[in-house]
Amino acid sequence: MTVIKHMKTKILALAMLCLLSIGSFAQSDLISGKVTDRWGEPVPGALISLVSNPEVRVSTDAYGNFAIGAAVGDQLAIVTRELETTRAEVVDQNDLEVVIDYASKPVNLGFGISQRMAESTGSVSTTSSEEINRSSALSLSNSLYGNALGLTSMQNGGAVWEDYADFSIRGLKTLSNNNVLVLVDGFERSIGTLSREEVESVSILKDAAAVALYGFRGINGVVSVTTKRGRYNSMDIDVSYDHAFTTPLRLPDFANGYTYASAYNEALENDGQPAKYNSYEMDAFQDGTAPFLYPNVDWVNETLKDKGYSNIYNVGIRGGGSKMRYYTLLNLEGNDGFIKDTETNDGYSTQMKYSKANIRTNLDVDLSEKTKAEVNLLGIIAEHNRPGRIHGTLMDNLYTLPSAAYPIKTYDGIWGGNETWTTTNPVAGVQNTGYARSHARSLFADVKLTQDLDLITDGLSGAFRIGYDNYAEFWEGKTRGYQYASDRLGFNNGIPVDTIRTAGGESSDLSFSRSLGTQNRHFNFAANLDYETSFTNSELFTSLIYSQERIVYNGQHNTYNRQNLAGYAHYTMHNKYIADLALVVSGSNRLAPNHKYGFSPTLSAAWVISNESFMQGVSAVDFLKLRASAGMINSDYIPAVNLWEQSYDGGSSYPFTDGFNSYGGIREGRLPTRDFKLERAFKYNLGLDAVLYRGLTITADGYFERRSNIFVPESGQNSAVLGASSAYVNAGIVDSRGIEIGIDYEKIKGDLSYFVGAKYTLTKNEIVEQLEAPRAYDYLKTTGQPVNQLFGLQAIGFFIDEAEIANSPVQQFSAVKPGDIKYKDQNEDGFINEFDVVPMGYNTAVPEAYFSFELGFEYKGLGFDALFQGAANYSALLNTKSVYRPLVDNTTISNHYYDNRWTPENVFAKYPRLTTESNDNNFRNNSIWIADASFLKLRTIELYYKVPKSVLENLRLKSAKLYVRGMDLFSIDGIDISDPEVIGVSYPTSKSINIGVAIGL
Amino acid sequence: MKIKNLIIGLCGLTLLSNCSEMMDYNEIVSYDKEDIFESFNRTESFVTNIYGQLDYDFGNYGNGAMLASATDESEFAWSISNIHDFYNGAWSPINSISSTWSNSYAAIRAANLFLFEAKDQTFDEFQNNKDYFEQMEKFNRYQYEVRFLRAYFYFNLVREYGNVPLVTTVLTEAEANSVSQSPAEDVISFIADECDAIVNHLPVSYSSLNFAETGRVTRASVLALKARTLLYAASPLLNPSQDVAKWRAAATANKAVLDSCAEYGISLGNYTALWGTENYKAGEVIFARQVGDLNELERNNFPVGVEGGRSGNTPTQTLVDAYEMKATGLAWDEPGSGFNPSKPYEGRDPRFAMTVAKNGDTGWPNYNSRALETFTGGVNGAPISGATPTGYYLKKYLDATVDLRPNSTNSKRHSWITFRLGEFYLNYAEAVFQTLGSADATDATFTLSAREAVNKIRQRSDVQMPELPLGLSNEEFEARYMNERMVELAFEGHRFWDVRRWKQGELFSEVTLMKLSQNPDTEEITYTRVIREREWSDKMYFSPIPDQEIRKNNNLVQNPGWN
Repeated sequence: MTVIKHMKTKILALAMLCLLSIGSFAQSDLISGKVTDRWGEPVPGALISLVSNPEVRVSTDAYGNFAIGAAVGDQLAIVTRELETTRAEVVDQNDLEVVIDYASKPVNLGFGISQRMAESTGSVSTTSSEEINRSSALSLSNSLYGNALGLTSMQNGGAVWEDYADFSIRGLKTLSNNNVLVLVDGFERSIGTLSREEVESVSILKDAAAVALYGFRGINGVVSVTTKRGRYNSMDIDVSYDHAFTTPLRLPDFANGYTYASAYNEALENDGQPAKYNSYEMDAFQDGTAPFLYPNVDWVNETLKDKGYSNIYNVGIRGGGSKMRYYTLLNLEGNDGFIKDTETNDGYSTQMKYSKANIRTNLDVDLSEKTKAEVNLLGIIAEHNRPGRIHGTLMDNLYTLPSAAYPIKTYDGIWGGNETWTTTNPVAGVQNTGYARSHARSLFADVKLTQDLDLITDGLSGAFRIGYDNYAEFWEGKTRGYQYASDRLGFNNGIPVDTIRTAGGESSDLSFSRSLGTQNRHFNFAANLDYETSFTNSELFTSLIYSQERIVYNGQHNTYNRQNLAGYAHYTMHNKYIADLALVVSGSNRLAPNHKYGFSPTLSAAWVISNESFMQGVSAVDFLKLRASAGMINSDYIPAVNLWEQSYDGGSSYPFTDGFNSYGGIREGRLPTRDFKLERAFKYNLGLDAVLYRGLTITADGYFERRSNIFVPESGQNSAVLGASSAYVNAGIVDSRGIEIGIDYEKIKGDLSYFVGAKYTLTKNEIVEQLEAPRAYDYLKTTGQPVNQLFGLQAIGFFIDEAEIANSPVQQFSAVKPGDIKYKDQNEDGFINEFDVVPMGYNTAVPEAYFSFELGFEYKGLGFDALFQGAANYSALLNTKSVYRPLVDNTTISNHYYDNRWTPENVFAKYPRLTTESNDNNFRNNSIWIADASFLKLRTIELYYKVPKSVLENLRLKSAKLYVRGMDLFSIDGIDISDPEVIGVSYPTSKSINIGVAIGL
Repeated sequence: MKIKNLIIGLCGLTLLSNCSEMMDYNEIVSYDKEDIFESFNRTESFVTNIYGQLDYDFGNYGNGAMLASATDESEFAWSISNIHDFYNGAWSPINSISSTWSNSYAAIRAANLFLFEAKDQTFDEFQNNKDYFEQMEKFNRYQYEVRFLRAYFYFNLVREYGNVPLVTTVLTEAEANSVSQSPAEDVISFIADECDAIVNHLPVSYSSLNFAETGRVTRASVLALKARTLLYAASPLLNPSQDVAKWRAAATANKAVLDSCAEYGISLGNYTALWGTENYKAGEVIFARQVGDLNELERNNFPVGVEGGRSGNTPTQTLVDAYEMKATGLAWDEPGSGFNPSKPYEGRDPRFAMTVAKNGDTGWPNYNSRALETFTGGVNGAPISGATPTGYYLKKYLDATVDLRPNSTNSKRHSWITFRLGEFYLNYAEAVFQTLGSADATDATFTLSAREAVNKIRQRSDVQMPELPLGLSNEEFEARYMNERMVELAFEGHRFWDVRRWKQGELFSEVTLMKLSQNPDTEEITYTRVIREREWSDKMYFSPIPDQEIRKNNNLVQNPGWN
């Protein structure tokens, strides 16, 4: 037997139960043994059961010892608390030695199929709850940076409740949809609101062999989350508390009033316009004596503070009796944001606050010896609070409003505001626009029944599972308006004569509104029939899996019905040669009639070299396996609904009556796709798993993927004389290739343990075909380049004077002046225009290289660990308003730009001259604004103390850990003034110092 | 497929849902071809969409710029607009600015599709409907309306690009990618022939029909399209040999418009009636492109410094200079004109005050309680971003009753005048002048002289400018005519094309702006004329065909100078 059913892997029991069951097996004797890990350390709490009768089970004691009633020749199954599995044959009655090694690690393929690492033929990496919980992230999604080999996890900005990481696996592989499938306990579910504590492991499924069973959905790779389950005859209570002191990471730094005014005058002068601020006004800004007329407001510091906090409370109870097991969790999270002065109103706060409760129960009930039931329930109640002016707008205000615009309040207490910047006062936005709240509820629920079908034939079993998830969000808002005003001096011959007041807006009372936000529901059904049998020296497991799902999101064309029928066979010979075959037929309602189904075959194989006899003498090699897989995976992605039909849809209207009542128009829609095909991936993977010197683990994968039949619009080929929108055609082809290497060294020796590890992923891709429009020059083609490759002009400095402009190629974007960017004439035609752009940098979404390294040690309970994570071959587009696009469109200017601007005195500047005009020449993609966004971040660093056993016993505790952690404490990168992963107008990302305690009862 | 059958079987077993129903689930609500052309209502909607493609210019270019700002009529106040690309060297096949090419062919395809699909529909299903015959009457007229629209879009194409593909069928991709251009002359003949073929099938007016409607193509519209097309065909750009026969054809066609208008009761009225909510009903309007309620035009053109106004298309001094002195009928800089440099706007052609808002004007727009200050440092003047660079703001086409204040914002009905009688008096004058060789000449056919035709315009009730005198030399008349055309049709979308068809592009190589400065003590205004240069090149007589079009179809030839 090579495949252990998911259910069975979870079985743990105490010796007592075993002793009770011994009676029914009269011939058996008591066999004693010991379970150790690869360093020879005892493994406590491992469950030993008889393969022929799983009801006979015992567990190891604190020294790894066990005794079980069995006969010589019986097979024992061993499962550790970490779900590592192995087998052992009873040779004689005493001193059976069982080693739990790397090969015993679990690989979860989903649909109840879990394999030992030794037997897996797919490319799967797994991160455990221990690794995840070195992070103090509020969401599971933000705890995976650098933790899982092959998962590129990138941070997002925004409020805590929006700030979930973006995942990709093996880079950008297609021109259409690169989203990975995220599963929680086998069903597609959001992990944004999942807590770290409820997770047992996260597996990254990468190659065809790993994703085959998921049909249409697995084409871009799968992130599969497994939650914790109970254990037989035990009870563990975990209580933990984590408090974070949060600080914004790299807030923008904008010019003060005087600098802004100087910059504005300089920009006007550059534009050939008269100054806006006269010398009287400049002096007033400089000496600051008339703050109501000539203000200098640091809006960022007036609106944001540099301290927030988070709390995470967690109670988990994990255990079970002899017939049932449970895991139940209550997890509470709270976060208080960075907004200043939020308590100025009676009765409500305008702080950015987030609170969430996760309540989970995972139950396993053994209804009979042959029938098992599983019930998983997770309820999440989340709430957030924000100022009436939504944080996106508030941040936009901060990135727009100059210090010199107006005071926070006028001298007589009215909120600042004027004609140009009307209701953009961010302090008023916090204090005087009311507040808004969201209440979100989600339910993840499923039930599973497993039946042993030995009665029909030996080795047959079946299961089915039904799940229903629901999510709904409600909004309520109480908003109000405010009156604004500002004063300015009127001048006569440069001498102030009077003050002129501008006023606007209206003060109003709170007005209530509410609405339903997003809601979705998700129905799942899965059933499988498994059969396992063994022959001489070989074993076969087969499974027939049927699943279907229905996902309904808000709005039209947002219902997804899918079906999947998979036949899976897993064959092992001599424990050395392993082959997997998956034949999958998938159906989807998104696809064209007569093309509703796709067939995906995958074949994979592995060779466990370390089990060969010629390797037995090689003591350095504990485990060595080569893997290879090839498969064809389809997708049901379509770029537009019903694109195979000629549709007629709403066109322009026209008023034909005297009252100008509009008549609706109808027009011919996009031309239909005539030869409909499914987007398809051919995936090839070669991999190696090795354990050397009892602690050095190496995983390496190399892959190639050809994505074909990608839907691309034919418009690149069609003349506009056609007069219709072009059809989508299955003509796109993208090739991608890459490597993933993970190296870990881990050692436990008595009181000392330590680990070091590194992970490195490199992906490259190339668009082979996309029906690109004809280009004047080959270097303009995006075909042949990676997906989302940036293109830009090559800046070769700034124009020094009019003479240089006159003697240079004509730059055709807009009239140029000294201080404007001078570009390289790539085609040497004497003009600088769209024909002079060249590929530059990489893309802004998914870095090509993603890597991490970690280290840690523990001695007598005192420990330390750290995780660094970085990315390279990654670009940023520097186009943030005010920061890199100053003054234009009534924005302000960052000190960074001001200090690096071109002036006649500083001709070797970093950035072009100041201007108040939209400058098409300067503000377009070019080598100045396409920046290297590579970074290396210290994701977590932790110092902890585990209270020694002797003390714990007095306290009647099983474990206790105290820690201090740093999250995202620093980043080394070339961007410097903002988070390299979050460039743009965004609520700030944060770094934090956390203190915490975790106690086991 | 066996496996598929197995799936279906398994679905049946699970009894959870009907398998094929689940896979066929679709929320599609769009129509297929039969749904459209077998229904009166949807066929009508299909035609409506073609009408909806008719152009109007309440700010078609970036930030609300009108094509007028690419001419010497106007300067756009915001540097951010792509309207400046027409004259700053950025105009090229890869930055073709205009979308006439793609928009016109989209509309032409819709027209061709309608003419093909709807040809023989009888709507038998509806035969027993009470209004079947009325509906059929309407339906039978659509084909002529659509043919007019198609001809109109071809006029837009030939005016802008010269030689263009002449497509009268629904093209496949392969056909579209290999079509060749027809000579401009053939396109013009096509338009003229189509007009001749359909003119008698369209009513003089829709108001008396069973379905009283407005905004549809009338008989006069067809005559107007033909007349304007032939005027362009006779003009130097498309008639380089100056074949007088073409001028005669143009004169004849424009005379037909004047005669028909007289017959149909279309006559000149007030100049100010040409805009505002009721302009589509104005006495001289032949065809108005009805649009609807909007305030973007006002938002984009009301002065900055007026709440809600963000400025935009500002009339140039070049245009202001075109307004003659009312008392003498002379240009401001002509000796004896009566021009007073200290009161430069007094005694001008009344159309000046109707078209242009100037410093000191009050009540512009209605809700503005302050007088306009367009001088440097003024409430509506530089250096405020977006303040007028010319010293003036636009009034024509704007509705002064539009209110942009946050608490009383409103929108007003707008219609764009496509054809009006005034234009055709001028067209006629130009064509007759060229045909007969002098301003005062008449013959048996053309009993109205060119000079008299121009004077009709000058004599309209709220203008009352002195008549052009008898005995003008040809050069004098030509200059006066062109000036009159600039004044009369300002901001109506003509100047850009008129200057091109006259092959006088050099006129666009500079514009004059006015800088106003105020003496703070005396509040006296000093006027300084500022010349702003613009790039003109003769290749600009025709627009560049978008670069991609030439690359996708090897049979297309780029217009001269744009390669």
